Amino acid sequence: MKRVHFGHSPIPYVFVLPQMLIIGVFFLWPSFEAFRLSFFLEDPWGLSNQFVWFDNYWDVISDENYRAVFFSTVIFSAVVALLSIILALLFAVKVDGLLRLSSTYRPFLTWSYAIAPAVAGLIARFLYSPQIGPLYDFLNQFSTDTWFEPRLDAMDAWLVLASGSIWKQISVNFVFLVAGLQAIPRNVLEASLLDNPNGFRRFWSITLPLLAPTLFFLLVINISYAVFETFGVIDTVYPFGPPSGAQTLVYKVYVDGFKGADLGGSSAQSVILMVIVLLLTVVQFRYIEKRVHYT
Amino acid sequence: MATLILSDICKSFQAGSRAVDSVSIEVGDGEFLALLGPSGCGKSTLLRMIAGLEVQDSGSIALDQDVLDGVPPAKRDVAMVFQNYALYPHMTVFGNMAYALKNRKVPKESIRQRVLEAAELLRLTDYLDRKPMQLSGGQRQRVAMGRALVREPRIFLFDEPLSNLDASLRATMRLEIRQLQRRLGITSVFVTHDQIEAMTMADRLVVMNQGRVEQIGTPLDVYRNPQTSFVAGFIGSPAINRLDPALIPGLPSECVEVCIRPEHLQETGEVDLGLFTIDLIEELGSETIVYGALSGGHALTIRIEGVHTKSIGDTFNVYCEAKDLLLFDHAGARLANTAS
Repeated sequence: MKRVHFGHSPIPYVFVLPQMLIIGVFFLWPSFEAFRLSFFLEDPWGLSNQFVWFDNYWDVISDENYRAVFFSTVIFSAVVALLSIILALLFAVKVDGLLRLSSTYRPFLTWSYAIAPAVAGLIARFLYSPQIGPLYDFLNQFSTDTWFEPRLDAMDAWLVLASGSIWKQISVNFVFLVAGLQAIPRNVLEASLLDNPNGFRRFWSITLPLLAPTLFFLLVINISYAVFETFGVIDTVYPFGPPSGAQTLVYKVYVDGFKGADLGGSSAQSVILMVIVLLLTVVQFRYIEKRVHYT
Repeated sequence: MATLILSDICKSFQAGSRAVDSVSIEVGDGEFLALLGPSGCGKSTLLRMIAGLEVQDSGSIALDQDVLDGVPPAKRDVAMVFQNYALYPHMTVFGNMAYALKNRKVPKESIRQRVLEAAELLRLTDYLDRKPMQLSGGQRQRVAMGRALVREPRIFLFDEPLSNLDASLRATMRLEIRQLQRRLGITSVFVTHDQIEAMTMADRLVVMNQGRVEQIGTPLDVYRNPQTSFVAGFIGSPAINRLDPALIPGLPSECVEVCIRPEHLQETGEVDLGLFTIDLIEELGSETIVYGALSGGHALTIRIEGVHTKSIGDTFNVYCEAKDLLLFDHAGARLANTAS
């Protein structure tokens, strides 16, 4: 058998060059810098530094405060990722029936996709504002002994940040889930209509498994959203920082590094965070993806 | 074992056009009925209404004594085989066949037994652990059949189940479905646009056009005695010849169209149709199809048994028997042929 050989042309490399530059400048280089800095102790003015081996890491790990933020981040991320998927799924299922009848709605339903985390944060700030926020007033109607006060109370702040983050992400998940639902062959759903009288069990045994590839994809991107991108929400709702206890790891990296000027410790935190996310992604692909059926 | 009665079914998807227009059909116990018609004639819609996947605007569907109107699909005791099989891609062959039974709370051991029996019948025993993706078209088709079979439904619905198969497999499956249906004696409704399928499989066939029933009858009856001009043209391959009534003297005045089957045109007979010139000959071995035109330019197709000796460009006089002529009025309805 004779194989066809194509001459190597430099053009494909030229095409991927801009993307590679972006990855290099905004991801690889900072990552490398963070990794390097995590071994140094820097003076507050950035004028000198000293190689300290793993001291920064020991400091982070032995810090009680860091461990507290770590656990609150785990809970925050899990709640944000799961609730934004579940709520979006609920909406998508409701809309799916309508869309099969009409395609007029579709563009309108995807508009909210374009909202940036910072904008979502601003909206949450207004909604929960003590002066003009309707949700602030609404929630305070129910409080008897304790006042709903997200500027001071960590639990209330946590609620504001989580709801803002979930609200922003629902639209993204919704668009993917609607597309996923629409891609399920109509005949398969009709066959299940003949085979199974129970609507909920039909959804559980046919629709959900066929949606699994979309759900898995969303799980991966939602966890990384909840861990990293919610920084935008936190920073816009609380320009001077949330009440302690409502921080996330990413926010703490920022605060310690840029406000506390502890570049080495902040870099060590970043590296730990990277390793955690890496492990999480490996776990997702190794254990959860096995149960996903791709058609 | 069931009798299906459709009475005066109407359905429209857009105002002003009827997808199904006042259809009344009775399907006898154990009968194999084919719904035949061009695409868009409403045959699939009718089938989907029997299954409960569409709801009729008016009219009633009954299975034996049970009126099905408003009954959800899963409670109708109806099984359907879809055109693209509609297998559950994430389940094994066993899972696909067992699914409906599981949802009906059939005991596990009984499910197993019924699935294994159906698999045996359909030669699927070796594939029970496979996913639909790992099967060939014919095997998927059989799984779809099996899924319907294990339910032991009162009625089988087939929505063009053979149209995704290649020609030779289609012929085999045609035979298999027919034998299986006859053995089990389950009332069946089979939708197809393929007249060979309809003619070879059905006890009776219903020819539909533009939402209306044109004719109901046995395959031979529909072939020999088309009640409308549409049926005459739709059934039969090669297609029936349509003639100008002016060619034949002595026809009733309301006759605007005369049809005659290609096999009824001969070189001798009562009625002389004129001089015919051969344009093209198709030799099929058992028969020969001759295409050509009369001297007036009127195209004709003639079917001759066996092989014959003519060649392109030959001319001869074409005749037919008066009793073989099918006469239609301006509305396309059949007129009595006074010669027969």
